[in-house]
Amino acid sequence: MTQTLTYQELQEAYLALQSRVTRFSSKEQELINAQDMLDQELVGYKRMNDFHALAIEVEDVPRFMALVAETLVDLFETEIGFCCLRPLEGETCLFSHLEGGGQHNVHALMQAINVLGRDAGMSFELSQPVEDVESPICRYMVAKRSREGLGLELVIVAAVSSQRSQTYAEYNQRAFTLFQLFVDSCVAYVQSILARNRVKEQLETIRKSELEQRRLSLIATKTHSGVIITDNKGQIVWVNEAFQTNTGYEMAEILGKKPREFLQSPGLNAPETMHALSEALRKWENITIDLKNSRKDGTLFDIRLNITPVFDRDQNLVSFIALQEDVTAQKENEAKMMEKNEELTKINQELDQFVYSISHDLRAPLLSIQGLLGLIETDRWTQENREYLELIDESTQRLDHTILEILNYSRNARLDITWSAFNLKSFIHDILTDLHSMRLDVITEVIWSGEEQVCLDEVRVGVLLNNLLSNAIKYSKRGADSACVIVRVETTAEQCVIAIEDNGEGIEEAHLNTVFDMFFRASNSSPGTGLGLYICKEITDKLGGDIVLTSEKGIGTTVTTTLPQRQHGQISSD
Amino acid sequence: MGRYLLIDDDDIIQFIHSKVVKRMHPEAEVKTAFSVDEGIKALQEMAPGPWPDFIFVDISMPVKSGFNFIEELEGLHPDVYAALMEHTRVFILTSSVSPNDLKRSAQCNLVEGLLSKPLNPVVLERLWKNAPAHISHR
Repeated sequence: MTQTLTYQELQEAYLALQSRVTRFSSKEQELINAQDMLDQELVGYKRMNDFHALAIEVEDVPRFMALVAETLVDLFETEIGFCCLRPLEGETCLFSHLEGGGQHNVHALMQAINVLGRDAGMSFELSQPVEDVESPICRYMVAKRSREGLGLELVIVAAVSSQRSQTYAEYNQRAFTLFQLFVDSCVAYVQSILARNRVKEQLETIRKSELEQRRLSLIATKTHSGVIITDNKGQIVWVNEAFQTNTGYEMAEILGKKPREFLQSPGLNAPETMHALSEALRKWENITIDLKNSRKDGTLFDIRLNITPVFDRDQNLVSFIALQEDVTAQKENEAKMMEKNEELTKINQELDQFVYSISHDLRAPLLSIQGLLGLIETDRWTQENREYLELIDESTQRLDHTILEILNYSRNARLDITWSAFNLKSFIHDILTDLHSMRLDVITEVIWSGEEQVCLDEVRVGVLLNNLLSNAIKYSKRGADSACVIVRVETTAEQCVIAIEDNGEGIEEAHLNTVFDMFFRASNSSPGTGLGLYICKEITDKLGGDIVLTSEKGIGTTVTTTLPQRQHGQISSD
Repeated sequence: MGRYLLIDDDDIIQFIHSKVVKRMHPEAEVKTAFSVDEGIKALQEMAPGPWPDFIFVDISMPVKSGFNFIEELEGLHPDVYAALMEHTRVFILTSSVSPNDLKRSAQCNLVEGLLSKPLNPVVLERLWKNAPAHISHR
């Protein structure tokens, strides 16, 4: 087993190993090349994943290790030479040992390793020698950390005895040479390990991306949206099932074509749209755009197109992926909605016009009747006839009132809110002046707090207050001097609270829940349609406000309405 | 007392308004016109005066509306227009309760106000007393 090497032989061994190192380097290059070919040769390389498979690639290393161990015995007159090189993952990769005899300067050896290790670009750390007292064995451990994070542990165990005599100089030279050899080989080995790991990583990446691709292609295949993949020139390399179904084109007939060549025809889409699309493609930008496409049979369909450019690691354009979401139904629905909306707007306008025309046409003769009634000279009439005339007058007024109420109701229901700024105090004053003629005996008082200027829907508020105030005046206490209506107004930036209090007959508690109902009338004696308070409720609802009625029989009634003011930034519907 | 031009297509209302005016001022000169064109023609024939004290014009009439009449007034000979601006008070007299009509009449410089049909002695007296004619629809 024991082998004696001359210095000459060692030199030769070193040279041989040197050339092997070169071979390892070229081997690494091959591996790197192989990585690039992995896309095609995936299967062939799968076994490389196995560590042992790689060990075959660097099969000369074990023999080299054996040589090292032998040399250890020979050179340092050890009894046992033992060499182990393994990744830190724990897997023993190479192992060799020899038996022999001798003992020498181990410290010098280790220093050499360290120096050479650094020269080789790897950092070695020497552990402290462990001396076995019973048998003269020193154990040295050299831990190595590679530059690229690959952990390797080099274990050299040298059992040293001093049976052979040699000059120190000769020993030193041989030791140096040997470990130069040794470390160089280690470098080569480590490089091969690194290469292997790169391959392994690559494999994993490929496997992952393969999985990813399989998933993606599953999605691309199964989705209802059309998917087109083109090369970097925009020529189709793949389309999914949905695309073929949607367009009627078979994959085979469109491969190598540009989508634009057969999905578009002149004038199908606005030039700006097509320009935007071209620009995005030219600049390699992501784009989402709505387009019309034509099928193979010439029919058209609407799509929402998303195009994503795909780049490789070096930012070279590889391909475009286009997703076509069919939005024909969506577009049709939108168009239908628009149509319906326009129709409704038109109907609303017509209805509005109709209501005004009708009310005008109904009122015109009514007002003529009123005018004529005013002209009749009753001086020589009987009392009875005069009463009849009064009843006719009253009836025409009620009829007119009803027409106006219906108009107000219809106006509130259909028209949008029109905000405007106005002086609420003088507004209320005007209404009260108008209503004064109804009953001259009623005293009205307005108690004000806050700003007079408000922003509300003037027309609606007019109808509302006119109704409430005329009710209050109408139903105020009769036959006494003390008939009075108190209007309390409190305005803030957010809202107006208007409370109208009369001292009239009041409403029975049982009716309080129904006063705002349509056609509700509290008493048979009162004139009116029963629409007044209903309209008031409708108006406050429309304005986002609130109306509350409290009443006590024999004491009076208070109606409180709260109207939110238009807030800053609210859009006016003027 | 006073000169009136009444423009309305409804002959009954014309009759009533004339009566109301005559009752109040038996010597009043009342000119009735049943369309915008007639009204304009009547004004042209009045040149060089005397001009009416009041013009009452309806809004809703066939062919041309009361607002058309106001526009055409502005298109009259500048002298006529200037004379009208000086002498005549123009009112819309209507059975319309449209807020739009109210808004629009408020925008016409020539129009002093919007009155509700039928014209009655109380309102007329108020007009003569030069009181602000405020009649609005709420």
